[in-house]
Amino acid sequence: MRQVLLLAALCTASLASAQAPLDPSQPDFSGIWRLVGYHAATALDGQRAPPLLPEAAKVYAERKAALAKGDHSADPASTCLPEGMPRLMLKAEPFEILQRPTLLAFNYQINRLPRVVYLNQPPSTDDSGYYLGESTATWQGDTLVVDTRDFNDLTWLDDSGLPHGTALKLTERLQLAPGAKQLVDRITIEDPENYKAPWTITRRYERLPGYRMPEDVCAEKIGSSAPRRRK
Amino acid sequence: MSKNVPFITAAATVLFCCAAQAQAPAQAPRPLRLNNSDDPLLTLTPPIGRVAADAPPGSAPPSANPRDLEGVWWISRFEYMLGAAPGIAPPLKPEYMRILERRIRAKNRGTPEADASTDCRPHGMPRLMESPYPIRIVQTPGQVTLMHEVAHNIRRIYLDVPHPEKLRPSYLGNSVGKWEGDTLVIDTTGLNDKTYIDDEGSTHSTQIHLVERIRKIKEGRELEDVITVTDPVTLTEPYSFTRTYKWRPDVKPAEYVCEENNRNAPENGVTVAK
Repeated sequence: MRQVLLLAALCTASLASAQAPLDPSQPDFSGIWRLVGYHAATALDGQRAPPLLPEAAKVYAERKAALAKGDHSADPASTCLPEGMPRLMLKAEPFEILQRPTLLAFNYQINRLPRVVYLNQPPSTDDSGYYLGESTATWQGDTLVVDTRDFNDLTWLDDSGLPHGTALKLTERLQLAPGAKQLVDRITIEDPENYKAPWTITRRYERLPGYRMPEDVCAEKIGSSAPRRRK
Repeated sequence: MSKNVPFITAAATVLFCCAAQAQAPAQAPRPLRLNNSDDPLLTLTPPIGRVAADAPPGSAPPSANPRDLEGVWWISRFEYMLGAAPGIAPPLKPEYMRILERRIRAKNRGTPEADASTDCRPHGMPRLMESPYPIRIVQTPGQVTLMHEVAHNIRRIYLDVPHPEKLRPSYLGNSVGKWEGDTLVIDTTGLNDKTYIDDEGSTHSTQIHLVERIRKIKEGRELEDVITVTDPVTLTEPYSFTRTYKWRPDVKPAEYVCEENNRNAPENGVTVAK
C-alpha cells in the first residue's frame, strides 16, 4: 500500500513539474534580485581604494575626469555594448537567476544580457575574449563558487571606469543570507596587469517577488539608426 | 547474407521512395518570386536548406519526460518568408502585400530597408522563432524561458496565468503558456508594430496574436512548433506553419553582440558560432 502511495506521489510530482528537480541539499537562488545600495564607484570591503598599478591609475583618473564633465563617450555601455563583469553585478537594475542542475542562468534586465554559468565543468581554456567572459562554477556546501575568465578588455569593471585587461579573473562566492531573503556575492578581482594584488568586494541583493522583467532595449533608448561598430 | 543487406536496403529504399512519390499529391514547385510574379525584382531569398544537423553520435540523449524541453535546440532549416508553406507569402491584405513587394524590390536592388534587427533591436515574433541560431530552453517553476543566441533575445513564457490586463507593447510581447497533454501551448500578444513577421518584411500590427503548440517528436530528438498567426489589421485570415528544431546538447550558445558586429553570421547555411 505504501508503495502504491509512493508511486502515486511520484506520478503526481512528475506531472506537476516538467523539468528535472534541483538537488534539495543546495540552496535555491532562483528568482529576481536587485542590488541593495547602489554606488557608481566600487567601494572595497573596508573602504580602501582598489590597488591600482600606476598605469591603470592614470587610465582610471582620465575616465573619472571625463565622466565628471558629463562626457560618457569613453564608456562602452554608452553605445550599448555589454556592461561586462563584475559591472553587471554592481548595477541598480534587477537580474533573474534560473537555477538548474547543470547551470545557472543570470539574465540581467539591462539590455536583456544573458550570462550562463556552467556547473562542474573545467574553467575555459579559450582565449577568444568575451564581454562577459566564460563562467563555470561548483557548489561548495551552500556556496556557489563561480570562476569567470576569458574576457576582452573593452569593458569597465564598474560604472566609475575602473579598468581591466584580458587577464582579468573573477571568483564569486554566492550565498543566501540567513533567512534566504538576501543573496550575498563576494567578488574577488584578479588582474595582475592592472592591480597590485587581488581585491574583494561584497554586494547584497534583495528578492523582488512577483517582479516581471520589463523588455529593456538599449538601442531604442539611445536612438540608434545603425549597428555600432567598434572603431 | 550480410553482403546482400546493402542491396536489399537500397532496393527497399527505392521501392519506398517510388511508392511514396506515387501516392503523394503532385506538389506545385516552390515559387521563386513573390506570388509567382514575372518581375525579377520580386525574387525571394532562397532558404537555408539545412541549418542544424542531428547531434553528433555519443551526445547526451534527450530526457524521456515529454514535458522536459530543457536543453539547446537549433532550427532544422530556415525560411526568409513565413507563410503557410515555403515560398508562399503570409495572407496579407492588398495594401500590406504592396508594402512587402516594396521591401523585396528594395532588397533586390541592393538597398534593403532597415528593420528593427538591423538596429540591434529584438526581432519580434514570429520572426524570432525563425532564426539560424541555437535556442536554450530553461524550465523553472511557473516559467519556461527561451534564451536565443541571436541578439541576446530572451522570451519568458509564464505558465498557467492570464495575460496582464494592461500591456505595454513590446518587441517580443507577453507570452503565457499551459500544458495540454504533452504539448506546451503558448499564447503571445502585446507586440509592438516595429518588427516584421519575417525576414522578407511582411507587416504585422499591434493586434497580432500568436498561438504556438510546442512538443517533442522523434523520441525527443526534435522539437516541433506549430505557429498560428492572427492579425485582423494586416492579414485576410489566420494561418499556420510548422517548424522543427534539433536537439543539440553538444552546442553552447555563444555570446552574440549585435551592437559591436555580428561575428556569428551563418556561412553556407551553418552558423559559425565562436
